[in-house]
Formats: sequence, C-alpha cells, structure tokens
Amino acid sequence: MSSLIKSNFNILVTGFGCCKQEIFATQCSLYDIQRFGVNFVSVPEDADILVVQGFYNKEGITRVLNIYDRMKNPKGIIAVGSCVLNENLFNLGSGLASQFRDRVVINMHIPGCPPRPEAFIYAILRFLGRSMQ
Amino acid sequence: MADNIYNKIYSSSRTLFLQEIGEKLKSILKDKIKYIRKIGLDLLIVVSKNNLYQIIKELKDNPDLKVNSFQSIAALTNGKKNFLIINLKSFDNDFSVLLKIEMSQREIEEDYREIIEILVKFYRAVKFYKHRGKIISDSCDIRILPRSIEGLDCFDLDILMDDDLIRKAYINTEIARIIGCDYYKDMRLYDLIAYISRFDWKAGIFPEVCLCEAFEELLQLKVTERAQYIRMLLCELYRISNHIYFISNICNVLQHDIAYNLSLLERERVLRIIESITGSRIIPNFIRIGGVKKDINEDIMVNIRKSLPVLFKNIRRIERIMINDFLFIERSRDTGTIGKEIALEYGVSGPNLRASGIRHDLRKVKDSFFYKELSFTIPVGKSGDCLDRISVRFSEILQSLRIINQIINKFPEGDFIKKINVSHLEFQSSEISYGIECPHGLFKIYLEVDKNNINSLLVKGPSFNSLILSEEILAGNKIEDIDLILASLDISPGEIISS
Repeated sequence: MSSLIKSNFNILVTGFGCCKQEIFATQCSLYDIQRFGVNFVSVPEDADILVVQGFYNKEGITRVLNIYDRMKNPKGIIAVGSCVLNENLFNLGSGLASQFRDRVVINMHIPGCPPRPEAFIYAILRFLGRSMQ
Repeated sequence: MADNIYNKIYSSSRTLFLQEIGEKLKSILKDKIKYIRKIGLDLLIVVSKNNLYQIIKELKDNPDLKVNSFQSIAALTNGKKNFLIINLKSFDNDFSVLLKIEMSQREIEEDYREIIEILVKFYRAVKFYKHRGKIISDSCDIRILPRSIEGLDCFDLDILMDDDLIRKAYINTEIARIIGCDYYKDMRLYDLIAYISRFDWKAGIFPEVCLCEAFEELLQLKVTERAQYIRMLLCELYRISNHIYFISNICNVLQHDIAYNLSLLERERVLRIIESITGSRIIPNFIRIGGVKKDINEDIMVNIRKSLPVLFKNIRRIERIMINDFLFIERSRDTGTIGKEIALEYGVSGPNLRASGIRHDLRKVKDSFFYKELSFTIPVGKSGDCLDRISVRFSEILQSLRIINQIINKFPEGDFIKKINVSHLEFQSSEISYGIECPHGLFKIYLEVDKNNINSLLVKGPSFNSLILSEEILAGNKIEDIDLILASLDISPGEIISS
C-alpha cells in the first residue's frame, strides 16, 4: 500500500452522527488535512479508506459492507467514535456494532464522543506512517 | 424580585390565555373528551379513538379554534400503558394541542393505519406516515442514496421523473430508525442530560436547556439571573456555530471553495469560545437543573469581547463574497419556494418559516429567558426560496452577535447554580411538554415522570417537518437542484432519528 500512496489518499465518510462534523472540520485552513495529500471523495471506487462513524441499523451495516466490497484493493477501514467502537448509544444491547466488527477487520480506532479533529488527523498520519514503513 | 418569581411561577398572560382556550375547548367538545389539562406550553386532551374524527373536525373547522397545522404523531409507552400522541397547532390563535389516545400495543398495531386515514382527511402532511413501500418500489425512476453531506445522509430519496423535471419525490427514513424504544429507562437524570444533546448535534446545547427547563417548570424552580445569562450566551454561540455550518454546507453543495473554507474557519473561532466555556466542542453537557455546571470568568469575557468584531467583519465578508457571486444568486433564486400557507400547514418552524415571511420567534414570545430585556430584530424573508433561507440565516448570525454583545455588557453578578440534590429528587406523577427555539425551529420534548423515574420521553425536533415538506417542494424542480434545496432546509439528522 505504501508504494501506491505517494501524494494522494482518498477518504470516503459514511454514516451519520456527531463525528461527521468533526471529520469535515479538518478541511478548514486551521487544520488543513489536505496538506498531507488527503482528500474526501464520494465514490467508493476512488476511495482508499472507508471511515465508519455514527449510527447504523441493520440496513445501514449492509450498505456499508456493500460500499466496502466495491472499493479497490488495497483498502482499509477507520472506525471513529464511541458508537462504532462500543455500542449504539440509543439502542444498548442491540449488538450491531460488534456484529459489524466481526465481519470486517478495522485497521484503526479513534475513540471519543466525538473525537477532536486533531485526533482524526493524528490517526490518519499514524495510518500513513504505518503503511509507509 | 417578587415580580420575577411571580412571572416565573404564574407565567402571567400566557397561562391565563391557555386556560381560557382550555375552558373554551371543554365547553365545545363536552362529553367527547375524557379530560383536558394545561401542561407547559400545550393543552393535553385525552380522547378515545372512536371520537377522534369528530374532535379533529371540530378543532379544524371551528372558526374560534382553527387548528390548521399538523406537527407530529408518535407512539409512546410509560411502562404500564401505551398511547399515541398527536400534536396539532393553531397558528392563528397561537396555541398547540396534544391529543393523547390510550390504547394497548396490539390496538396500536391494528388501528394505526385507520387513525392515519382519519388524519389524512384533514392534514396533507400526514401522507408521509402512510405505508408507501409498494408505491415506491413499483414505480420509482431514480433512487438517490444518502450522501456524505451533513443533513442529506439520513434518508433515501425516490424520484419519479417527467423529462428532466421531478414529478414526485418520496423520502424514506428507514435507514435512520436506530433508536431503541426505552433507552431512557433506569437512567439517572444526569446521564439523561448528557445523552439528550445527541438529538441535535449541530447545536447540542438546546436539548439540554429544553430538558432542564422542563424539570425546572415541574419543580417551579427559579433559576438565578447569572445562570440564565450564561445559558443565553451559550445558546447564541451555538446558534451562530450552527448557521455557519449551514452556510458551509451550502458552499459545499455549490462547490464554492473560498466561502467554504472561510466559513469553516469562522466556525472554528466560535467553537473555540464554546470550548473555553464548556470544555467540549460539540456535546457540551453543561446545563444542570437549577443553573449551569461552571461559572464564566473574566478572561473568557475578554476573549469573547475581542472576538466579536472579528467575527462580525468576517461573516459580512463571507456574505459579500456569496452575494456578489452571480452563479450563487442565479442558482438559489426562485428554487424550492415555500409559500406561507404550505409552511404553516406542514408545521415548519424556525428560520425556514421566517424565510417565508412569517415573523414568529419563540424568543420573543416566551418569557423564560431574559430576551425581553435585550434589543434585537427577527429577520424575515419575502418569497421563501433558497436565497431567502440563506440570507435569513446570515442576518440571524449578525443579530446573535448583537445579542451576545448586550449579554456581555449586562452580565449580572451572583450564583451560577442553585444546588439541589438530584439523586433525592421526587416528582409527583405528572407530565410536561416544553419547547425552545433552536436554530432549526421549535425543539420540543414531552415527558412523564413519577417519583424519581422518567416513564416516557418523546423528543421532537423541527427538522422532520421540513423533511416532510421537502417532498412537496421538490416537485417541479430540476434534478441538479435537489441537493441545494435539501441543504437549504437545514435538516439535523439527530432529530430524524428521534421520530
């Protein structure tokens, strides 16, 4: 993967939740995630990394897995926020988040409810650094 | 002081007005209803299912009542009984009615369609609640799945086309149904305050304020002046943050990169102020029953005072950049027009309603905060198109800055919280409905409490009504305008999950 990621790294954000506004806040010139070559895209075929955040029901998880299948290799998943990491806050005991984690391998977790934009940038850099080694 | 306490406990003219309306309703409806009671802002009428048609007909057609706006319908349980709550509103006479129908769970499942059929005869907006799965799957031309733009990510859109124009649009919020029916059971009150801000994560302070004020109303608790001013300050800061985020979304849709970057930068500036006060950016968890969590010190005040002129200058700059762009004006003018009547009929509130030309703001109507001591105007639009909705929000940001300036100058001394032991609080068995003017419109909660338990909780945000209305206004527009129209309605996904 390191050979492929030289100057362009495409991220696709799915789901809806509080973390989304913090992820998109990294685009502003104060954080400026694009200086690291990171772009936000909206087509699964273009994306290198799938960001999973917020609330999902059964239908939502099926759709996310569908999107992940459509992405080209090499690919990875970053899980953002408590809802995906632990449990859906509004439906404790549904176990959907754990079902989701069982089906795919999540490469990086970003804890927090919601995590700060700096945390997201740090995770992306860690991810890039790890894949470049 | 005595006046203040008196006004809080017996909020004077408003209470008397609602009582009068209640008496009138009682005499008109007589034996068709079980009982009628004033709870918070609304009148609660307990009815049986068999009389529903006659009651709604009377409410709608009687010229003294004119209950012409449908707000919401929801099924609830309080542990022992199940019931349906139908919220209707009269804009002409300015009162709102909650119709409560007690039924068993089985009856709700069986009779729900029948009740919806009755409501459809009087209110067009109820069409959304009908079962439409078959209609959509049979005849839809295009299906647009949730996109990554905030606000457009919580529903599917099925469209029937007529050449390049939209003939009919259906919205399907199945993907947003993630909420368990009794997540609030066995929850402590402090936990619930932390939870509830997720219902509107674009402006997280408003659900907290709404919940705490509802409990204060139940306890007949008078909050100190300083605490009220801190609440007002935070509300206005979050309002600005939400509106700037709205503008950034519009810029994102229109691919206006300069304004997009500038607006995100200004939002950061506001969020940093909020963070210095609350310690958190999005989910504040700051409001407590009886006051707020922390006091504001002089350093923060100085910081806000320094930031205000910068914010004012930069917002005006963004506004100038956008207004001077003819492409932006051409695309947003006469697109997605909402007329006055249809906005009222569908129960739209907040800036979307004001953009249609109706001057209605709960900050001016209600007397819970100290907004009456501050001078500000309510901006209104003319035609109700996308351009009006955007410019109304720009004006609201400037008005909010004006309010903040006055708040800082008038900031009173005193305690920031009245300390009460929440774990030992016991309420009488009662119900309350409370509303607050959030940046999207009227944010409402309905709750039933008994001793120290919350038996039922219903959260109703204004975005759902805007979403239902968007089905109507999308028809006749071009397919490339869909994103712009939906983004201009400022839909908060947190409010969709609660419905």
